[in-house]
Amino acid sequence: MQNPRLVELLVQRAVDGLNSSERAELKQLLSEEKYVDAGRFEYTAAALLLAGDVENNVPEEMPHSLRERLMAQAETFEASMSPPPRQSSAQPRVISIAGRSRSATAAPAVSAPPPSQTAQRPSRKAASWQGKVGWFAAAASVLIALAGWWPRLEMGGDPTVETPAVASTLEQERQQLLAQQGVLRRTWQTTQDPASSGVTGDVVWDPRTQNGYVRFRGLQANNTNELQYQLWIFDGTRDERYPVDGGVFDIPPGQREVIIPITAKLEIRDPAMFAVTIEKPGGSVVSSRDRIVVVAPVAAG
Amino acid sequence: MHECIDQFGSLIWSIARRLTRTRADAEDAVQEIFTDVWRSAGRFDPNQGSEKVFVATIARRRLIDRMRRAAHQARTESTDDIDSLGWADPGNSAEVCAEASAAARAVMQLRPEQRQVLELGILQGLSHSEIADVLQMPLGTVKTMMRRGLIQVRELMGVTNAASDGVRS
Repeated sequence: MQNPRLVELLVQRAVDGLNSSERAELKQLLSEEKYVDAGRFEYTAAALLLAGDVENNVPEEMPHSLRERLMAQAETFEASMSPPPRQSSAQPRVISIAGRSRSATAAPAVSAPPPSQTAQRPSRKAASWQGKVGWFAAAASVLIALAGWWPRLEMGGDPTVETPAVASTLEQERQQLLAQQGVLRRTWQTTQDPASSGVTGDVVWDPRTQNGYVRFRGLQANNTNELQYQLWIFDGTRDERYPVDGGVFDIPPGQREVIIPITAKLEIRDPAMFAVTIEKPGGSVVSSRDRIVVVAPVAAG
Repeated sequence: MHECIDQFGSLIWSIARRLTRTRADAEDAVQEIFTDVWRSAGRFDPNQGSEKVFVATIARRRLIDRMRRAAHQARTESTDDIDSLGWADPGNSAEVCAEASAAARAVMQLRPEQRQVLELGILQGLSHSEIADVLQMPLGTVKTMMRRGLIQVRELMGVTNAASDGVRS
C-alpha cells in the first residue's frame, strides 16, 4: 500500500472516523488498489486499546438493566436473522420491521412450522461448539448456514413446503396486544407529502414489552428498486436528531390494509412520536426527513 | 448470543465507558456495538486473530462514529470522569490477549511524544484536532506522528496483513 492519501484516510478512519466525502474517497481508492489491508490501523488501534488500562484493570461489570436489554435485543436480532418464507404469487409479502416476512393476506393458517424455524437458532450442537472454538466460530457457522438457506428459499426451494399464512394471526396478535393495559394506540396523521394522501391507520405500542404494530390503509405500494418506507421512533430520552430506526418495510400492491409488527432496534424508554419516511432502498441510518409520510405523536393521543 | 454478551459484555462496557461522556451514552453505545458485533460475526476468522481484538475493533469504530456525531460537545465536560490512562507492560497476565501484550510492548518502544499522541487518540478518544490543541502542536505534525506511530506499533507487533482483514467496512 503506497498511496499516501490512502494511508492517511485509513489512519483517519482509525482515529477520527471519516465524513461521507472521505468515505467515498476511501472507497474509490480501495477499489483502485489490487490488495490493501484496509483494517490494519483499526486493528492496531484496537490492540492498543486493549493494551491500555482496559486490560490492566478488572473490567467493570455492566449494569444489570443493560444486560437485560441486551438479552432482549439478542432475541430480536436472532429473530431478524431468520430467512423469509418462500414467496407465493397469491400471497404478497409484507417485509416486517424485524426483517421477517409475513403474508398480508387472510389465508388459512397452516400449523406446520416454517422451514426457517429450524435454521434461525443455533442448535444444541452449535452451542456445544462455543465452548470449544469460541462464540464467533459458532456464530459464523450459523450465519453461513443462514446464507445457504436464503437463496434457496427465495428461488422457490422445496415445493412441498407451504408458506405459513399469518395475516390473520397478525391481526389477532395486534388485538391481543391492544387488550393489554398500558398499551399506546395512536392514529396516523398525514403530511403534505404526496404519498400521504388518503393514508389512515394507527400504531400500537406496548412500552413494557417493547412490541407493537403499525397498520396502514391507503399507503401506496412501493417499487423496492426505487424506494422503501422506514419507521422511526422518537424517544424522549434520546437526541431528537437521531430517532431509533424502526426498520425498513414495503407495501405490496393490491392490499387494502397492511399490518406490520414493530421491532425497535433499541429500547424505547419514552416514546414521543412515531413517523414513517420514504428512503432509498435499504433505508437510511439518519433520515434526511425530506419525505415524511405520516406521523403519530404520542402526546396527541 | 447470550454467551457473547456474557463473554464480551464487560469488555465492551469498559471500552464504552472510556470513550463516552456519560453512563447513559455508554449504555446506548453498548447496545449499538452488540448489534454491530452480531452482524459482523460471520467475518471473524479465529485463525487470524483473537475475538477480543475483533470485538474491540468493532467497538471502537462505533464509538468513533458516535464521537463524531457529538463533536461539538467537548469531552472535557464529561460528567463521569475517568482516570488518566496509559500503557504498561502487561507481564504474563492471562487476562491479556496476545495482540494486546504485543501492542503494549511495542508502544513502549516509541518516543515519549509519539506515545503521548497515540495515548490521547486511542485511549482517551481525542481527535487529531483535539490532540493538536492539547499538545500545542500543528495538526499536520499530530497526524504524521499518529500515522508513523501506528505503523511502527504494527511492525513491532509483527502482525500479518490478513489478521486485520476481518473487520472491513
